[in-house]
Amino acid sequence: MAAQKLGSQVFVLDDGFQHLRLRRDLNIVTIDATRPWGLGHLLPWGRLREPRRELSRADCIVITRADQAERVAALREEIGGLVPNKPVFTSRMIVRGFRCIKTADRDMEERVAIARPVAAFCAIGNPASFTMQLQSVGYESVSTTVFSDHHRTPRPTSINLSGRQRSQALRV
Amino acid sequence: MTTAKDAVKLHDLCIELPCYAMEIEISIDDEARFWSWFSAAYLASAVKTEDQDCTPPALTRLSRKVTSELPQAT
Repeated sequence: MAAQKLGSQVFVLDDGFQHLRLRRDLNIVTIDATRPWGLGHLLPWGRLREPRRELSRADCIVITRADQAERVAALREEIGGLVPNKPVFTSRMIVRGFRCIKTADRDMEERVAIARPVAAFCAIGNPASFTMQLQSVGYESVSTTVFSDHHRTPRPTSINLSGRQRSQALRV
Repeated sequence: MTTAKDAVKLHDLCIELPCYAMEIEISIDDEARFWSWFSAAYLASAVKTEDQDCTPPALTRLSRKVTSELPQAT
């Protein structure tokens, strides 16, 4: 559909690795350094989609969130043991800026003039990484609401801010 | 504050407080080495698929572009 309607010629797929029937040019496998082996078990007991040995099908491995984890060198060594001849890269997530949701404004600000503190909510696989990323750019969350990954309507029904904190936030 | 992934589901959000999505991007530590690997790996893959007449032109252009933009090895 994207090829027909939008003229797309390059496709980058999330979770495409285990889609064995899918024809692909390259397999770039990302491994989250903060929880690399998904509790050590395959779904549903863990988060692994396939056994570790299947990494041999990867063309390269990118360790993500390397700045948020300890023992990255050990992880790299472990990956090297599983796939000795594949290139392994490390990476980190960088905050580009903040976009106002309510105004649907497409402009992005490097820093939002937000009165601290802030409340955070999300429905992603690694919510701790999100709050850590917020902290890294100076926003300490006093209230964090976590929904299950891929939740269809992740919206906070109650935000745990004191009256003073709420009035600070509204003063922006 | 929420993530950009969640923000796409919140176009009709009704909340009195200001609400922002944090936009992030991945930064590969040794980017030049990554692009060097990518160019070589993609070209090798393109050679395999060329016989089947399905080489995506955009990837060919991208590969040439990143190769030309790679920092010179020191």
